[in-house]
Amino acid sequence: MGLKATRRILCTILALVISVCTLLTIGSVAFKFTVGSQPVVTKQLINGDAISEAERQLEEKFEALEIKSGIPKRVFLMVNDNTSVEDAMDTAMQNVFGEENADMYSNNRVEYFYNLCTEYLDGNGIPYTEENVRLVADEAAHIYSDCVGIHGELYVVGHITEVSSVCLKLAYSAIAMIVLSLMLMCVLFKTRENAYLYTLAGVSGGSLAALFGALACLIARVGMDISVQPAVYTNGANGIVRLCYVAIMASGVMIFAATTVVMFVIYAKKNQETLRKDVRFAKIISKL
Amino acid sequence: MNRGQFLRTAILLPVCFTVILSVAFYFGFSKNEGFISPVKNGARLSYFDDLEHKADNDDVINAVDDLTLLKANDNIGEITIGKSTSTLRYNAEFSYQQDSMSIMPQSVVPGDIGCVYVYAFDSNITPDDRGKGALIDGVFGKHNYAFVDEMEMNSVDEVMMYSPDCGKSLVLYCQNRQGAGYVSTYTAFIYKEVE
Repeated sequence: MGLKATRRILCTILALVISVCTLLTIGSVAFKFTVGSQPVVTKQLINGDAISEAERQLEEKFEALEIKSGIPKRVFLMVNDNTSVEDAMDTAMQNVFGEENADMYSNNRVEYFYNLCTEYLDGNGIPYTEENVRLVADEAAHIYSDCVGIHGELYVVGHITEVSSVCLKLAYSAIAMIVLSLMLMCVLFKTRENAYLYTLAGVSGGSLAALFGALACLIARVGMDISVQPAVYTNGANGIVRLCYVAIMASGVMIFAATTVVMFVIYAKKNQETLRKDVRFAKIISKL
Repeated sequence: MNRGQFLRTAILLPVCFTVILSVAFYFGFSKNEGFISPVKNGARLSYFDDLEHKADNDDVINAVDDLTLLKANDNIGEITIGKSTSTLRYNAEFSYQQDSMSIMPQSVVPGDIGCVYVYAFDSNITPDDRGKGALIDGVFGKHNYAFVDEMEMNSVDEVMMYSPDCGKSLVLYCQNRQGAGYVSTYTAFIYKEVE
């Protein structure tokens, strides 16, 4: 095997490494900013459907509490005047990430409902005993927690932290590998253009693989058949994965377009230079 | 660089890599589905009542002979206490309890030897109906119960621990309401089945 052939094989291997690293970089960055991103996960899970369902659940459950306790549901629903259901659910999600009280049940919440009830009872001159109203307030706080709070928090937080950290490390390592491969390629070729071309071919292959791989996953709904309780969160949970695939595809298209343009520019420049050299050489020959 | 060399490097090479890596990407993701979503499959984020099927739950379900075949909130017929009739549901969720009574999962099938536990809101059992007979009419047939006793209990666990002497019995229990609000004690109405 000649030197040229060996160099070509080495370059092909390095271009493949660059392709793999490009794919890993695109995937990792897209993962970090979708599945591993707190605002994205919050926005997807706490969507309009989830908010309106939570409002409906609160209405129905407080209506039942009205019949059980004799205190009108509008008294309990005054909690929404202070903090809307949407804001409360957002706070719950923030608390999930802050590893704080995400279920939204607390002694302060019980006290808050107790004050709402006693204000109503005092205002209407209805006699009550503190202990009885406290039991009602406690049940109201539990209902609020059931409807507005987020309960399965541990997996979400642990997973997002893991995804963020793994993706970041993977992206840095992949970029380092791309740079290293480029440097090796520059050593292999006397003219930089060839090294750049092989590198760009690798990047372009990786970005196209990201585009088609994500498209295949999107069509086959890979990871998008998650069922979450209550069902109203299922769309949001699957939406995060969908968003991740779309981000990978969009990044793939952009990087592919950019590398293709650069490759053609390099090719055109190289040809122009060769033409100029040929013309100069022809002039020298003709002078002789 | 000639055209052939350029086409080989800039087009053929990326196309080959794309084919190989796309397949690897797809299978890699398929094998690690758990890593892709931030929410675990089957995870419970909130505790909502099943209001989506509330309209379906208005109809009495088809006959079954085992309580384990029932789903929460299933309408299994009617229960009449004295002169008042209410819907009887299996393991009713809180929002369903406002106009229904709930037959608890710890119960036996009405008509079998053992105890049928039914939970109701205090306000759904009128003072006039207390101490009167009961009738369960639904997917498990018609069962008449005669009133035996009324007892004060401190908790739901105490109610569930209580087993009347009579072979086929019904325990209807509610959390005691007192003015505005309710107390932590329960009243259990004990019935025995009569022919």
